[in-house]
Amino acid sequence: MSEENFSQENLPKALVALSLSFSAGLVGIVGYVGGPALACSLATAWRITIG
Amino acid sequence: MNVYAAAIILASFLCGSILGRILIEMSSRKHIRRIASVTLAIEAVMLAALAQVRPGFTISPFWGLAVLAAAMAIQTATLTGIGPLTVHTTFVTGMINKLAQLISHIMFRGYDLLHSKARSAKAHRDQRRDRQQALFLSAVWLFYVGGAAIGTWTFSSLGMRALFIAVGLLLISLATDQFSALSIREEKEQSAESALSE
Repeated sequence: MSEENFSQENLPKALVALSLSFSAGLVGIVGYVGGPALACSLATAWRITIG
Repeated sequence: MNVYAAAIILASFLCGSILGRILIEMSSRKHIRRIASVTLAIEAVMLAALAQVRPGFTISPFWGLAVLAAAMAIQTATLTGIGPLTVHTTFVTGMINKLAQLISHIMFRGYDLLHSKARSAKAHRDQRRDRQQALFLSAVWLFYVGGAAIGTWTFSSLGMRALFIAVGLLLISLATDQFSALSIREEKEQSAESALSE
């Protein structure tokens, strides 16, 4: 893949991937499912200490 | 949560994943370019349905978790790669391995470039590409953690309605699919696999 492809042609897809990852993180923590251990641990730790 | 609940949630993830792949396979055969709109719409409806459930309802009656798992599975099937880079937007543990692989490549190639007298344009180009990909995978991780943090923050005040944030983002993604088809690669992969099996 050329740099042009990654930065221009695939830009919408890349932005959607980031957006969907954000959604999955949110859904994961709201529903306590689907999250990787690190994200869940971080969010749970934050919830315990701050939230 | 008992073992049956866990099994049902796991099974619903599998069913969601199968449904997503079936839809992509069908779109591949019928040459439908914007299948991501369909899969993302299904996911958005599932999340919106749960977002209206009263607070505290999701943990004990595990069907809510099962629906969320299925929704995440459908999302997983919708977008699996950007160019040659494999991307998972729901389970990113596999991406740690990919990120580690890229970092290792960058380190070794960087060492070679530093100690080599010959100027290799290709090596420099590959190095730049790997750095770009590593940066992108790191961004995916940051967005994932950011989503989890915002989910934690908003859940205390909004409860399950916090899922509407995810629904909103899905609608933006759905709109993006209208002018830039998102699941083209997935369709091509399905077509290639079908051709190989024939």
